[in-house]
Amino acid sequence: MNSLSRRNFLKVAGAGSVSLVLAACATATPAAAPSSQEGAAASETVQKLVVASFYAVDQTSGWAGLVDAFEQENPGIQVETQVTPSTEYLPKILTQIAADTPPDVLGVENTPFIQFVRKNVLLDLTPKLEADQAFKATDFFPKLIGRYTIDNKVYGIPYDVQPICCLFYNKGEFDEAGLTYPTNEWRWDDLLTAAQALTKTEGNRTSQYGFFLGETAADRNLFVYSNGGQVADSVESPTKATFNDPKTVEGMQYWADLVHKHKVAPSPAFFQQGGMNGSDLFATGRLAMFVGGYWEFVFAPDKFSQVPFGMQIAPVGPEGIRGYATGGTAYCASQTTKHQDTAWEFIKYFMGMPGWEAAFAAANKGIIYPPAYIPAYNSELYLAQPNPPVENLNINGDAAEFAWFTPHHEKWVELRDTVIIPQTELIGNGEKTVEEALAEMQSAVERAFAES
Amino acid sequence: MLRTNRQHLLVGLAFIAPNFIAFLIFVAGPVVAGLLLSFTEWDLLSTPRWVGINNYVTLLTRDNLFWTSLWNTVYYVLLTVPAGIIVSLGLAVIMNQGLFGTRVYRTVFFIPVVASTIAVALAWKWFYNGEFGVLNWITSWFGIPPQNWLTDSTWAMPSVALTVIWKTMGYNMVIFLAGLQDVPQSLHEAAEIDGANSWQRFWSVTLPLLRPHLFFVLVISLIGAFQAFDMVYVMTNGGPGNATRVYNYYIWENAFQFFKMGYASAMAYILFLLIFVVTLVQVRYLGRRAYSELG
Repeated sequence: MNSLSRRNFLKVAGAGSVSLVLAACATATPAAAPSSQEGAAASETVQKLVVASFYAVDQTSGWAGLVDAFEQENPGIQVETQVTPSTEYLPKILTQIAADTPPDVLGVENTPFIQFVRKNVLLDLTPKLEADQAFKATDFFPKLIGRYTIDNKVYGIPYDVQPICCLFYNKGEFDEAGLTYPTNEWRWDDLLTAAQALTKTEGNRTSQYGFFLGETAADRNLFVYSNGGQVADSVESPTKATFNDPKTVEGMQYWADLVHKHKVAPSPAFFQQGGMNGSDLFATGRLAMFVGGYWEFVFAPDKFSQVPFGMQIAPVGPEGIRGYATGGTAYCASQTTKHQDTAWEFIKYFMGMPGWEAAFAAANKGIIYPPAYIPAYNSELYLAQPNPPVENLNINGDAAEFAWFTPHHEKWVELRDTVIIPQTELIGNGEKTVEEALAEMQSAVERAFAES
Repeated sequence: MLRTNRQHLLVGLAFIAPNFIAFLIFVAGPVVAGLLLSFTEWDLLSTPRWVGINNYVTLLTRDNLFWTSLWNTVYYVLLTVPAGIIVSLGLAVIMNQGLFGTRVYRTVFFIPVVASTIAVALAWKWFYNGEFGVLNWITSWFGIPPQNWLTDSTWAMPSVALTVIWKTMGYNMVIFLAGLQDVPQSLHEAAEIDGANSWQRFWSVTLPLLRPHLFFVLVISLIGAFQAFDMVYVMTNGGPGNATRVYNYYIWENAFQFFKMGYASAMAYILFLLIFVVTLVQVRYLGRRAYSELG
C-alpha cells in the first residue's frame, strides 16, 4: 500500500501551516502608501490610521465627535480607533507590537511608559514639535510633558491633567453638622475634625463615613506626598528607595489611623468586596468626603448630582506642604508607523485645541477631562463647563505643579503590583502595621533597584 | 484496490486537515515557541535575547513570589478538588433517587456551569461583602462575628474556592449521574438480599463501579484547578496581600504586565511539568485500577 508515512505527512502538513502563517503575516502588513509621499498619496487613496486607546469612544470621553471631525477635515484619512478596556489594554498593545503590527498612534500610561521608550517602540516627537509654530511643548503643563520627555526627547503628548487632588464633599452633611465648607487652606487636622463630626454610627455599625481616600497605595497616597514624604530619592532617575523615610511612614500612618484608630474612613477592603468605589458610597449619602481624581466625576456626573456636592483642593500637610500623586496617559506614535506625518497630525489634533473642541461638543453634558493642553484648559471649554456647575475647576491645573508621578523605573509596574499594592492592602485590612508593610516595600524596591 | 485505498486515505486526511492544521498553528506552534521563549529574555517590545536556563534559575532560587504563588495554587487545589468531588458526587446521588422535581434541580445545579464567570464572581462578591453581605447575616445566626471574607488573608482563598466549587459542581454532577445510571439494579438487589444497608451498598457497590468516572473527574478537576485564573482575577486580583495570587495569575502578570514573556514562558513550562507528573501518577496508580477492576 502506498500510504504516506507519518513523518512525510507531518512534513507536508508542517509546510502547509508555515505557509499559512506566512500568509497571515503578509496580510498583517499594511498595504498602504509609502510614507515618503504621504501627503500626495493621501489625496488619492484612503489611508488608514490605527489609533489605540483605553478611553471609550463615547460621550464620557467626548471622543465620539472627535474622530468624525478629524476625518472630515482630513479627507483621505480613515481613523480606526481600537478601544480596549484598561485592564486588557497593555496585553493587547504588547501583543500587537510583538507581532510587528503596532497601532500608528497609541496611548501609553505614565508608569509603563519608560519601558516603551527604552525599547525603542516610540517615535521621538521632538523634531516635529520644534518644527511646529502653533503646537508647542510649552503649551502643556511642564510636569506632565516632562514625564514623557526622556533624555531631552519628547516621546508622548499628555492628554489630561488630573492629579489625585479633588476633595469632593457633601454640602448637605456639612450644613447639617454646622461645619464650614473645606477651604484651599485646609490641613490634615481640619480634615480629621470634619471627618469625625461627619461620621455616624448605629450600634457598632458605621452608617456614614466621614472620609475616604480613593488611592491608597504608598506610591499614590495623598498623605505621603503632602507630608513631604517620597518613595524614592528621585522620580526621574531613582536609585534609592525611601519607603522607610520618617515622613513617608508618618504619612501612611496618618492614613491608617483614619481607618483603624479614628474609624472615620472605611478600609479600602470595603469597596473591593462590593465592586463599589468612593463615588458610589458618596452618591448614596453614606460618605461625606472623599479624595479622588476629577475623573470620578466625569465618569458619573449623574451619581454626584444625587447629592449637593462641592469640590475643593485636597488638604496640605501639617507643615503646609502641598503634594498630590498623579497618573496620566500620553499619546505617542509608533516608531515603525508608515504614516509618521499623519500620526503627528492626528496627535496634534487630538491633544490640541480642535480635538478638545470636538470632545467638548460631543461630551456628556459638556463635561470633559481637564486638558493637559493649557490653552484648552484655560478656555471656556473646560473652565466654564456648563452643567451641572462644579466649583473650583481650577484646582486640577493648580495641583499640577505639586503633582508626583511614580518613580520612572522599568520595574515599577512589577513592584507596584507585587509589593506596594499588596502590602498597602495589608495595612488597609489591619493585618500589618505601617512599619512592617513599608519595611517590606523598602527591601523589595531596594533589591529591584540594585539588580538593574 | 490500491487506488481506492489511497483515495480513502486522501479523503480522510482532507477531513482531518482543518483540525490538524489549526492544532499545529494554535496549539503545537505556541507550545514549541513557548519552550524556546522560556530560554530567552523577552519584553515583547524588542527581540528576544537567549539567556539559557537563567529564567529557571531565577524562578527557583530568587523569586519568592514564585513559591508563594505555587503554594497558593496547591492550597487552592486541595481546597477545591476533594471538596468539589464529594459535593458533586453527593448531589448526583441525591439526583439519582428519582425524587419529585429532580429534573428541575438538575437544571438548577447546572446553571452555574454555563453562567458567565464574571457575573458569578460579582454576585459572590456581594454575597461575601463584609458590611452588608448575606453570608455575614447567615453566619450571625450561629454567633459567628462578621468577617471580611475576601479581604482577610485567612478567608480569601477558601472563599474563592467555595465559589469555584459552587460553579463547577453541576458539571461533575452530570458525569457522576451518568455513571450512577449505569450501575445495574440487580447488583443493588443482590447486595440488599445479602443484608447490606444503604451506606454499605453505596460504599461497596456504587462507588467501585463509579471508579472510571471518579478517575475522569479527578484528572480533569486537578488540571483545571492547577490552571486557576479567572475567578481570582475578578474576585480578588490576587489580594489581599498575596494571599490569592495563584500561579497562573502570576504567569499572566509577568507576561502581559511586567514585560517578562520569557520568564512567564518558563513559569508555564514548570506548571506543565507539574501537571504532567501529577497526571502521570494518577494514570499509573489510579487509572489502571479504575478500569481493570471493572467486570
